[in-house]
Amino acid sequence: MLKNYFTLAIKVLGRRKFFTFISLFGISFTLMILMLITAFFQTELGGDAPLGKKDQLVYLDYIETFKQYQDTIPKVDSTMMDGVMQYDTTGFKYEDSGRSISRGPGSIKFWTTHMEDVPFVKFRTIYTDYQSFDIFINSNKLTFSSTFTDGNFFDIYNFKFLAGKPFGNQQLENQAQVVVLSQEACKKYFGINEGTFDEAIGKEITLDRKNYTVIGVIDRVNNSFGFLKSDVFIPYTNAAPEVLNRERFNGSFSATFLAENASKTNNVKEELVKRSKVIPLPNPEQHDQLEYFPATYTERYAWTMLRMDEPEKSYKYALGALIFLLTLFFMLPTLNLINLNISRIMERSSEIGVRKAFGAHSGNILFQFVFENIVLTFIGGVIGFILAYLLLNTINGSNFLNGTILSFNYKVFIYSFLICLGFGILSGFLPAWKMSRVHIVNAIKNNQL
Amino acid sequence: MIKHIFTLIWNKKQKNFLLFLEIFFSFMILFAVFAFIISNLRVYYSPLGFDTKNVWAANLRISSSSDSTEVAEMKTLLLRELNAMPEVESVSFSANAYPFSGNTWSTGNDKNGFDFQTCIFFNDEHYSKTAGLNIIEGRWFKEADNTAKYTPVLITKKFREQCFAGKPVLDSLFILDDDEAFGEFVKIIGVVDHYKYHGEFAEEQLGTFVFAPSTSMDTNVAHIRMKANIQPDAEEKLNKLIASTTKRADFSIRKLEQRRIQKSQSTWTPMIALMSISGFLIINVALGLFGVLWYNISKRRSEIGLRRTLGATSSDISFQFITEIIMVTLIGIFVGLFFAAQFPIMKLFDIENINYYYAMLSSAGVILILVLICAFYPSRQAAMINPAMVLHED
Repeated sequence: MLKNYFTLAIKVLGRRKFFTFISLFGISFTLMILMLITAFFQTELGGDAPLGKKDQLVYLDYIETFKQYQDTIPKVDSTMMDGVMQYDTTGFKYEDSGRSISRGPGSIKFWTTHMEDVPFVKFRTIYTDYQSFDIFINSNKLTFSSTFTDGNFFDIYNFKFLAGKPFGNQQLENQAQVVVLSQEACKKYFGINEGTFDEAIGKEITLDRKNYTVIGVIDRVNNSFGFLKSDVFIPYTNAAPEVLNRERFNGSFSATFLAENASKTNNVKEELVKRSKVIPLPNPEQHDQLEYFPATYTERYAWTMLRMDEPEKSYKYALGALIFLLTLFFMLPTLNLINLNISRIMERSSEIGVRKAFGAHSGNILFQFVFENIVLTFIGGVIGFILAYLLLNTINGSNFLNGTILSFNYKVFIYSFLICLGFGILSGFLPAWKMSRVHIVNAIKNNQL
Repeated sequence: MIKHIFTLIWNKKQKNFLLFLEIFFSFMILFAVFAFIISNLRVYYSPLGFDTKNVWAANLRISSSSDSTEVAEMKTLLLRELNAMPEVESVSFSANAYPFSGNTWSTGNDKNGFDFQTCIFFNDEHYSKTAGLNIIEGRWFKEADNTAKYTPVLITKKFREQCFAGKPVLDSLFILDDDEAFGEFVKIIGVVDHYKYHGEFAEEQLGTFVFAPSTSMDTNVAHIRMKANIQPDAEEKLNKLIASTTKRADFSIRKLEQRRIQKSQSTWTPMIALMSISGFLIINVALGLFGVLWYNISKRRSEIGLRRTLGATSSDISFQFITEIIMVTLIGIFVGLFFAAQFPIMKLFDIENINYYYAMLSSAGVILILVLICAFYPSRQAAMINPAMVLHED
C-alpha cells in the first residue's frame, strides 16, 4: 500500500510543476539552513575531540577580588525640647555605593595553594589564554599562538595525537623544555607534509629565545575555543619568572576541573563557590572579598557569547533565545507550506470522494496525505542535504567563521533525518486532516471527475 | 466598497487567517533583522577617527614588577632606535586600551554636577601624529605637560556635547576620577573629533585621553607609523630591533589595518548570514503567496464572470483582488507593529530607538511591495477573464 501511495505522490508532484517547484524550494532551503545549524552546534557543543569529556568539565575562566564601598546615611529625627527644635541621629542606613574590582585570570600561586583537592574533582588543569608572537623563518613571518599549561591538560582534553605524546606533570616539575605542536604549526615551521609528522618529533624549535624539543603533534581542533586552538603548548614552568613567582591572586591562568562523573558537576560548582568565602586574601586593605562563577561547558559557551553577570543566567537566556528564533524561523516555511497545501489539496477532492465512497476511513485519507507530504519533504531534504554540504565546504574554504571548521558526521545526518520527518508531518497534517473530514457527497459533487 | 471587501475577507476567514499569520511572522522576522542591521550600519558609517593604514602596534608586555628606571631607560632607547629606522615615520606609546585590543579602562562619577562614564586612554605626546587623530579644539599633549600642575586631558566630541554642551571647555578643570588617581582635578586642553577604538561596528563611547609620558610604566604598547611603500623585510627588521632592545621575543606586531578588517568581519559574518537567511525566507514566502493567490483567484472564476456580466470593468476586478490582499496584509502589519512597538517602549535591547523606527518602516515597506508584486499578475489574469467563457464552463 505504501508503494501505491509513493507512486501516487510522485505522479501528483509531476502534475503541477510550478507548485512542486515552490514547495521544494521552500523545503530544501529550510532544511539546508537547519542542517547547517545542526552542523554548527555539533562542531561547537557536540563533544568532538578534544572535548570528549565535555559533560564532566567545570570552568573557572577568571576570578574577581573586590572591596565594597558603602555610603553611610544617618537617619535624623527631630524633637521639640524646651521649645527648641532638636535633631538627633536615630540610626544609620548603609547603601552599596561602588566597588573597586580587579577581575581576570588567577596566578599560579592562587591555583596551587587554594584550589587543590576540591571534592568531587578528578583532575584540575590550569592554562594561559593564547598569546601570539611572531617568528621569522627565512624572512617568512609566522604568527604563533602559545598556551602555557600543565600535564593534566592532556588528560582532561583528549587531543588526537598525530605523532608523539603529551608532556606529563613530571616534565612540568623538571622544567623540561618540551612542546606539543599543532599540525599547522608543524607544517609551517618544519615544512613537513601530511602523514610524516613523526619526523618532527625530537626536532628543536626556538620560541621566545629558548630552545624546545618537539614531543607531540596534535590534530586540528575544529571548534572556536581560543586556548584549545593554540599552535604551541608549553609546560608552564617555562614561563617568565614574574609569572611563576607572582604573589597576588590575579595572574594569567584560567582553570578547568574534571568532575568524577557528569552528574557531579553541580557539586563541584557548589564546592568551588563555598571555597571563595573562606580563602584569605593576600591584601585585604585593597580587596577583601573573592568572587567567581564556575560554569559547565554549555553554560560557559553561552556566557562567552552573552557576557551576562552569571553563567547560569546566560545559559537560560541563550537557550530561550535560540528556541524562540528557531521556532520563528521554522514557523514561516511551515505556514507557507500549509497555505500552499490547503489550496492545492482541494484539487483532489473528487479523488478523496471516490476513495471514501469505496470505503476508505478518514484515517486512511489522513495517513495517505501526510505520507505524501513526507515523501515531498524527503525529496526536498535530499536536495537540502546536498546544498548544505556544498555551502558547508564554501564556508570552510572561505574561512567565513574565522577558523571554526564545520563538519558533517553521522550525527548530523540523523538529526537532519529527524528534522525532515518533523517538518513533513507538521506541514502536512493540517491540510490532510481538513481534507479527510470532507463529506463524500460534497467531495464528489463539487468537481467534475 | 471597503466594507464590502471586509465582508469578503471575513467570509474566507480561515484561509485569510493563515495568510495573515504568514504576513505577521514575516514582518516580525524582517523587523528583527532590519533592526539589527540598521543599528549596525549606522554605527559603521560614522567616522572611525584615526588612521589604520601603515600603523602597526606591538604590545611589549612590560611587567608591573619591573624596575621603573630600567623601563624608562629601555623605552627611551627603543624610541630612539625606532625613530632612527628609515622606514619609520613616527612612534608613540600607549596603555593597554588601544584600538582593536578589546581592552577597556573606564571611570565615572557624579561629582561635577553631571553623571558620566568615560573610557580612558593613556597616550604620550606623539600619539596624535602617529594615529592621525583629528583635533577640533585646543591642542594635543606636548613634552612640557609632564610638569603641569593638573594632569592635562583631551576629551572626545561626544563627551563635550553630552556633558559640556554650549560651554567653553578649554582650560577648564573637572574631577575625572573619584579616587584622585590623576590628582584632584584634570585640565581639558583639547577636543578630539571621534575615537571609535573598539572597531567600526562598536558604538562610540565617551572618551578621555590622559597624558602619560613615553617613559611611563603604564604605556606598554608601541604604535609605529610606517612610511608608505616600505620593503617587505621591514617587519622582520622591526621585530629584531624590538626583541634586542626589550630582551624578549614573545610579542606580535599587529597591523591595525588588518585588525580593523578582522574585527569588522566578526560583525559582518552574522550580518551576512542573517541577511541571506531572511532573504531566502522572503523569496520563499513570496513564491508561496504568489501560488496561493493565483490558485485562489482561479477558483473564483465564476464569481469574476458574474461580476463582469453585471458591468464591472476589468480594472474593477483587479482593484478588488489587490485591495482584498492588501487589507489582509495591512492587518498583519498592524498587529506586527503593535508587537514591534514594545521594543522601543520597553527598551529591551541597548540600541537607539530611531533604529527601531527605521526597521518598522522598512520591513512594512518591503512586505507591502512584495505582496503587491505577488498580487499583480494573478489579478491581471483575473481581470482578463472573458465572462462568456467562464459562465459557459459552469
